[in-house]
Amino acid sequence: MTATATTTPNTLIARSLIILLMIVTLLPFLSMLSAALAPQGTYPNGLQWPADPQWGNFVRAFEVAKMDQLLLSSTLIVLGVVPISVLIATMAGYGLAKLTTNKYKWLYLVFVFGLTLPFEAVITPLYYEVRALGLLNTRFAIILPLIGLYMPFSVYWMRAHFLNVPHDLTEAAQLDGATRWKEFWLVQVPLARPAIMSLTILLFLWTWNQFLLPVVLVQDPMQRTMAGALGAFQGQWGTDIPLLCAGSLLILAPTVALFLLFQRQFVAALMQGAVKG
Amino acid sequence: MAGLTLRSVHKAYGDVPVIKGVDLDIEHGQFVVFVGPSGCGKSTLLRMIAGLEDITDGEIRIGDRVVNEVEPRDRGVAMVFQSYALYPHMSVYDNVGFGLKLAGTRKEIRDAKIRAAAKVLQMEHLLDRKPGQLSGGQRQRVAIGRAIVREPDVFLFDEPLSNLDAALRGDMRMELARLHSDLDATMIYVTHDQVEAMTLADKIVVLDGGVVQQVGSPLELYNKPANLFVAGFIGSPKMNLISVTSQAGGTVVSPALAAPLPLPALQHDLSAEAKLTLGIRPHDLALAPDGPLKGQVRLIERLGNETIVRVMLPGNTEITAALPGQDRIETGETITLGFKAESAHLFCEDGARF
Repeated sequence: MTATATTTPNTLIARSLIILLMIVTLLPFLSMLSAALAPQGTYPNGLQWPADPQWGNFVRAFEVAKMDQLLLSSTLIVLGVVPISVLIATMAGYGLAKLTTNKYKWLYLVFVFGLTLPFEAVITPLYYEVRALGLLNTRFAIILPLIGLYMPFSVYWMRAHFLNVPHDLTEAAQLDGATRWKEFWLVQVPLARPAIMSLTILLFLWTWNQFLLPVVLVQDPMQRTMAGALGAFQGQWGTDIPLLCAGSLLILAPTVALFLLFQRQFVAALMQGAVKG
Repeated sequence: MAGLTLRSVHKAYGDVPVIKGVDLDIEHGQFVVFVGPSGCGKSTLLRMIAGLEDITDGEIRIGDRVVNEVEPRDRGVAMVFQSYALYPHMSVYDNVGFGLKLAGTRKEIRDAKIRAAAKVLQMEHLLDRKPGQLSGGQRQRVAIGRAIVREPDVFLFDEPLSNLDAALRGDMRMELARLHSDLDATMIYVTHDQVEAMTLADKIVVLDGGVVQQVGSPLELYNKPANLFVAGFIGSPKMNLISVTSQAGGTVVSPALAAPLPLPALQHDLSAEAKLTLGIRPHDLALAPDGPLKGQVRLIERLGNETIVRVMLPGNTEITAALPGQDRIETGETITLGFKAESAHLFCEDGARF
């Protein structure tokens, strides 16, 4: 920066803090990377760049963890969860924001109540429920509960968006001859695109990183999400630290790639959350 | 195209009545303006005609069809909103053509109609733009264009000019008047701006507290206000209202008046000592050395073509006079004002015209 005149002690402190925070955040990743590149069977300690980086560890981790299958499994789960959740949440959000009269405002409170429910509290009843449905050890054991568990937040999110759309637009569409259904698809959904986009990104990340549900409800690691499969991978290769680190980094990679790709929307999504609480 | 009839129309939100029985006949091709202060129910009445608000009681007919239970889209009305209510994600072209698209109009016909409307409103060069790239006046044109293409029986305008600046408002007002004569359409227009009402309307409906106070042509309302409310609401500056007491012999007295004032209107009235209100329009007042209103000048507004003077009369009554030209009056000076007896308005104690 050339404009040194504007650099006050305060901004200097702020920048130093940011750099410090960046180091603290990146250090574990760098440590993982250096460990992943260590020769097989060694026990790397801390941040020690290996003399002979073993890039081949990544290839081996990809093969032994059957990453291709895991990628497919994770993708299938994401595709099963995210579009349906977003669709239902969008419709429900619109309904709760625009179609309900005061008499049915309590319906929304049911969803808000859902937000207070800790995820871990339902895991045991969910296990028996899924078993009773005969879905244990299938991807549906992850997909169906996730759709349900995401609803309170997703509906809350979409309703907040629809509440901000001026009512005049609904009325203009009505006068233009739109039925409720057409108004929803042709006017409201295109306008809700930023909200839908951010919700999609959030749900994708949460699904991709889903750990507890797959570990509890699905035995076969190949039917789990990548993060869930990490549990099995750790159990199997817990002693081979370089391999474990390489595998973990590979599992992380799609999320990081997605983040870099949709950085702007992602930040917008988080900011939106910040404003709307 | 069609006329409109309202019969004993009521509207209540819960126990709170907002429209308390409106009867109105609007003929085909008329430009009718609903005017009144904020909260008088004018917008609610318009929205009831549009079908955006339910009717608690009564009947609304468009043409010869009762539309109480008819969906807004099937009423044959088009509405221009105060906020314009343009679809932000659509181009001007798509905004204007949205109604036609929904109605399943063929693409060529739709295109012709959109372009014709754009030509009428001189916005052909804007068709590819999004509403966000338009100025307030341009958005207003698009909103009107959207109404025009649907060829409705009745156009409804809900304070369409209130978001525009004063100069643009004047231009758009003239354009609306031109549009009305070009389209020969029935138009209902809601405003709280009485200049808009006076300049645009064939017929003005003055509303207050959910009740129609008077219906008539702009000049009827100006010259013969039916009650104190209309008298105070129509005309700018506002009509001066002075409390007076009648006396036998057809005169009125008041502390504000220098001498008992003979009024021809009172000749046939025999009851003396009646409490009345005397109304005089500021423009009917003129400097007159022997006039009945004598007081001290408190405030002067020099507009160039006329001079608005606030005068404090005895008995703590303040009046406004609009004097022609650029009179050399100074603040603090004592002046005497007079008016022609036939320009005086008299109102009974209950507010109705005498």
